[in-house]
Amino acid sequence: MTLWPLLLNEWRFCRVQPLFWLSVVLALAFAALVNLNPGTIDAQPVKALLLRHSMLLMTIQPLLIGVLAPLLLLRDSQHGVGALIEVTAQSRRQRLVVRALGLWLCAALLQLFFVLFVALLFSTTYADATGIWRWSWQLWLVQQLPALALLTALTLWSSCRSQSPIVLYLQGAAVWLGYMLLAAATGSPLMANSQSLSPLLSQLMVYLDPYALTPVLAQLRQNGEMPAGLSQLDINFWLNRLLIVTLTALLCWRALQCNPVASSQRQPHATTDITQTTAALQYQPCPPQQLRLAPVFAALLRLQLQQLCLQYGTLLAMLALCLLVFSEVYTGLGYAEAFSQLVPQSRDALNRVSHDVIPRFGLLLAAFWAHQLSWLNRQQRIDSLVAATPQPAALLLLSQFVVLSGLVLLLVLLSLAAVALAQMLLQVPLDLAEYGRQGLLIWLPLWVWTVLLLACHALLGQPLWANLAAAVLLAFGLSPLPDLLQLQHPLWRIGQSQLQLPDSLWGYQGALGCTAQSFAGDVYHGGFWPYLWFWALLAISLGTLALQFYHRGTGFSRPKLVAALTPLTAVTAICAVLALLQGLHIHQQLDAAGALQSRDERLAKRAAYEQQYQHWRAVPQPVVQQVTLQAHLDPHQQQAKIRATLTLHNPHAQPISQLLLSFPGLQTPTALQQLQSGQAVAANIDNNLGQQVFSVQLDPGASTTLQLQYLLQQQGITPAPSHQIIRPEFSYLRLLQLLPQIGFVPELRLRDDAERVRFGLAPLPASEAQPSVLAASHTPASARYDWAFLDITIAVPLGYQGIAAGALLKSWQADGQQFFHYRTEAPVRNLPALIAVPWQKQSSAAAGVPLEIHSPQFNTATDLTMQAMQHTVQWFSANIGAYPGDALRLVMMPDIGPTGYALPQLVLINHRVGLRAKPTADAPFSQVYRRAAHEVAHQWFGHGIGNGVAGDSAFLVESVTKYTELVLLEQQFGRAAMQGLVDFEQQRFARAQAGSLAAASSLIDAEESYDQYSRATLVFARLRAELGDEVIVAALRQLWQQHRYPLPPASAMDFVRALQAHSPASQLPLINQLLLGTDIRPLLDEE
Amino acid sequence: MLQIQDLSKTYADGTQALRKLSLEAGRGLFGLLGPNGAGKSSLLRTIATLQSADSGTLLFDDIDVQQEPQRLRAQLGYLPQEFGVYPHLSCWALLEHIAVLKGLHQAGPRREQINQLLALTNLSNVASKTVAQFSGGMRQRFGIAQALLGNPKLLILDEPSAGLDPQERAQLHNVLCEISRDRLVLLSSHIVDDIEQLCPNVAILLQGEIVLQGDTQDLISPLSGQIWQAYGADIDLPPQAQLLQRSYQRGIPLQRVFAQECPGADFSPVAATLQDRYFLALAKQEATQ
Repeated sequence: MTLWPLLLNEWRFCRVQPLFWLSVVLALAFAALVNLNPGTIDAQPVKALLLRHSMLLMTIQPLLIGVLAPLLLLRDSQHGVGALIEVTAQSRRQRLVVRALGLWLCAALLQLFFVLFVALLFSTTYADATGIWRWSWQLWLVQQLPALALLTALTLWSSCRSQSPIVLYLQGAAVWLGYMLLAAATGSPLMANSQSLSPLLSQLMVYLDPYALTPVLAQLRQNGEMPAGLSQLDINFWLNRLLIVTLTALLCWRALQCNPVASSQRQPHATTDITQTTAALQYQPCPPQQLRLAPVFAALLRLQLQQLCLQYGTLLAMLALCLLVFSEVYTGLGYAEAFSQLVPQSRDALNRVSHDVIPRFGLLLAAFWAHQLSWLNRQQRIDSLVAATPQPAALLLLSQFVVLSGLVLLLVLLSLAAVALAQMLLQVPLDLAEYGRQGLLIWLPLWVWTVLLLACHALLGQPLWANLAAAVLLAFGLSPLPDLLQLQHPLWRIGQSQLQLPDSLWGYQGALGCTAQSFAGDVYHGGFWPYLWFWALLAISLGTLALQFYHRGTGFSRPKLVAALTPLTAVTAICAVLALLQGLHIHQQLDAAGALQSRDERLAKRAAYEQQYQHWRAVPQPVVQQVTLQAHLDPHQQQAKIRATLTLHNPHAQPISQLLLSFPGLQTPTALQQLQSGQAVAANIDNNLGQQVFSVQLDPGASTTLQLQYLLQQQGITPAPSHQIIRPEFSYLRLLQLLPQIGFVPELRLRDDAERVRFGLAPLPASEAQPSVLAASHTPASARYDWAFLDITIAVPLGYQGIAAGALLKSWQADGQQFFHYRTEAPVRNLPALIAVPWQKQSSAAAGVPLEIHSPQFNTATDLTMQAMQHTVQWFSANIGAYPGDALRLVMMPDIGPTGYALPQLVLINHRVGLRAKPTADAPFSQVYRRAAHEVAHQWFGHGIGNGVAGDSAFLVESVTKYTELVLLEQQFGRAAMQGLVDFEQQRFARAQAGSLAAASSLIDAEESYDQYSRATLVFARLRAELGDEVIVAALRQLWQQHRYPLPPASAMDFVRALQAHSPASQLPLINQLLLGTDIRPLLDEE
Repeated sequence: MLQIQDLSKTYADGTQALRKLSLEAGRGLFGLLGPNGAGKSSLLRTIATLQSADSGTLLFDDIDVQQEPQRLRAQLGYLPQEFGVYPHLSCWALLEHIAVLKGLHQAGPRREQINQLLALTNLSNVASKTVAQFSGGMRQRFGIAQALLGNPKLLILDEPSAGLDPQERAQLHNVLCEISRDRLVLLSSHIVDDIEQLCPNVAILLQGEIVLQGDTQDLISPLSGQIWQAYGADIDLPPQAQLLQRSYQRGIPLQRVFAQECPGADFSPVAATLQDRYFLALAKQEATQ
């Protein structure tokens, strides 16, 4: 029997299966969505193509095979035609081979559609269309087909071992999830923010990655460039393909060797042994009693629970979830960052799984169970019997609600038990209250989902439509679909809230609202309860509607729609109205918080700002000479009242007649600005772009004042902006987003060329956007420092510390408040900030500079931090220049994203890595020390010099401070510690650049953070080795002496020139290569 | 007991399952005859409250079934043409589950009736076995047992004897005759013999309409003396004779015809049966098309 007619037979079967076409449509729709990214042009299209292919493979292939495999491989047993097929002339092996080939070909065809689709998009976006098409074909052949063959072989092997489709579904899900976990654990660029956890695992993936991405990335890490063609891929890649094909062959061979498993339809019992003794028996009716709901309800619950819990799928999924949760907590608990570990608590253990693993896995399981429960009777063909019993439809459906809620509760409890087990094995004390809180916060949204999902199944009469509706809900709730469709509103994320991970510094204050004392938080202002109320009301409304129109499990026994007011219809209507009101309330709050603006809208505003106001660059504008602030912070009410007075000075030779004020933030002043000798030009108030034009009369050298008042009222309905937080445990306001900026602000212009073109702007010329060209010979004339005196008075509740830049002139109590008056003795960078915390401080001094640490507790980490502050201040004072300020205050901050942040005379350190962390046993250096030194160094490089040149890179801010890390680590902890940092950054750099799609640039022009930090570390390590510290320090000192305020600001190129000036001529090529060259191979070769 | 007036049902795909169907049935066994696709199961599902009709009225005693389905369900026993069972559940456990759903809350009487029904349907010996493993006949007997749970005033049995061996079929007939004394048993079957043996009243359903309805004997009597049969395959029939059935008896072809006079020398008169009436109705239906 030839193969071709049999394969055609498979196709004839597939082409009439709705599931097949549904898979095609959904997979193509997903592929289209993944590629829906307007305006993005990557600098390395071939690498982008490889990553896009790998992403599609990772996300679609296992699911595609998981869905299609039961259709093709298990159709005989599923549809009871096994006996008919098995007696045909075809041998079992022939049948298996043909079906596996059919599956492989179907999926290969679908993947070919994706490949063509992606290639078409890329070839219209990038110039090298021929190269794109060539790579697309090659990737399809050598990347996709072998991976598909392996997955098909695995599925074939599984189908020979078990005839249950659940096993294949679970296998598909396990492969899907498993590869993502492996990708995350090996630092694949497919998973954002992932990093390699084990070198052994990464090495294994080089040979066993089914998608062959890891060997390509490994090659990229070594030579920094994407190979020009398949022939240039190294031996590891081909070895990987060989292993995958061998593994495929092995699995196929094992599958064909398997003995056929018994069909799931078991053999019936013989009936001949039954004695016919009933001839004389008579039927005796048993009249039913009056309808009692409780026993019926109990019987329904018992049966449904039994049916679901006895399924292998349920048991396997529960076990898989518990194992996943346990391994995630057991292996990751205590991880703070590389070389750094926490003293973990229950909250840390729960945080590892409570926001992704349990809710997502739980939701998928809930959807599966909802389907099983809703169509259980129909699947077992007992729906008619049950539907004909005299029980109300509402009771039948209610029992499903209760069973599913109970199962979801069981799932949460089992997951928490797995967390607790891991915690106990690691000898971390259990905090049961935390378990209770997080358990409730996980279960409640899942419960809402159970109602939504069951309502879908109860209201729709066909399982296909009901599952499709559930899939759409899940896609909006779980996947990045709303983002891909640019649906910005949080309510598009079905069933989701804005709950943030609690941390040990401020607990749930990031999301649960202002009432710190109450677990529940403020019901109306928090980021969890308002959303939960909305979704719960909506779900209850749909649920009660379903109770009235439930099809009793048959799909067709739906009562007719009647317009009658019953208690249930009243509940439905009331809940729907309340959900609507709650939705409107959320919308208004979000609108007020500015959370509804999409990225495109923000970009469009910036483009419009540039178009409408860039002519102001030529209009003389005053500078801010002094900022005087009087702030009343009420952390408990999440409120701040601020009165600001800006002293404006005309430094120009000609008078100023017009003044442009930019309010880039959302918060506009509550009171009208009072400007001495000036008035607002009514026609030029642009509320959309936050611009106001004033008529003034400011003679050369004259000054005037601008007074503003602000009232900030924060709500937790959306996560607080990272620089504007008012919470009981931690309040921090950076006034950059609040106070107006004077004149046209070049930093607000769009920089990305593709985005500029998309919004109708010409690309910025290299002389404005590329630092090495911008200051090629000298600092641009437009450079100017925006520095001012700061005079800040903060009023906070008693027990709080008010913190700002400057010397603390006075502190006093009045009206039940504590007042703090700070003033800088000299101008500082105009970045005023206010901080209020209910903690004590630890003080010290170095080189005559008062040093303070504000922390909820003090331990060895804070001691080390204080040492780092002292050492850094001493080193800079001795080698570069005196501390440019009055005092330096370091404040611990909650886990809101950044690990450290510096402001003039202020430093913020994330408490997770700065207070709670300690070095691991094998750590070559202390991250606590390194980070503190880095942030303190910004007082010289960042807030001393490194500002004032619009368009300059972050080299003088971030890269130079990496140099100080190297010097201070070596000075304090020895050469091994310094080398440890170099090795660490080298690994980070190799991994990041391998996955990056950005164009290669010099270190001076670099815009990627891995260049600015990791590459800079490698470059400075090399410069130290070749030139020595004396030369580098001399260059830095010269930079400081020639460019510190009020001298002309420095650019990155000024450092290059200074370094060249202090270096022997023989080293100039090396300096040029490292700082101005784009070839990174010399840095990677050192690995 | 059961009054159906102008009942119509059209499915979403356009199939007209019931066309202004009217029917009356009192206490006792009532047979429904009709070929596949005639609408028997649709009618039974509608009476059993599993689907609603598009129009028409359906009354059982004082119950308007369309308006108060719950009241009918409280006195309904239903055996569908095809049904399945839950996996992992024993015969006894599944009967108990359905008994509870039917309102048999008191454990003692419930247990007693389940045991009695198990004996009645010859399932006592396999009561602890999983129903999913039952053979077709055993499963059918289980279906009959569950339909008899409680005290149903209306018993709807769609092909109850399918899969039963002759002995089980006879046993079923005994049970049905006994229980139909004080209730209505609607019996749908392809096996005309069953209907003829059991049902004093019968209706013949063709293409969603009742084409004949009445006392079984009254339907058969008019054919008396007009049914003829002859052995042989190649017998010519006169135009006025209506062929009812071609069959075999011990392998010899047998033709059965309806004619007012003897259609030929090979034919001999035989007693009319319900099957003759049924085939005659079918033939007439075909002729009108």
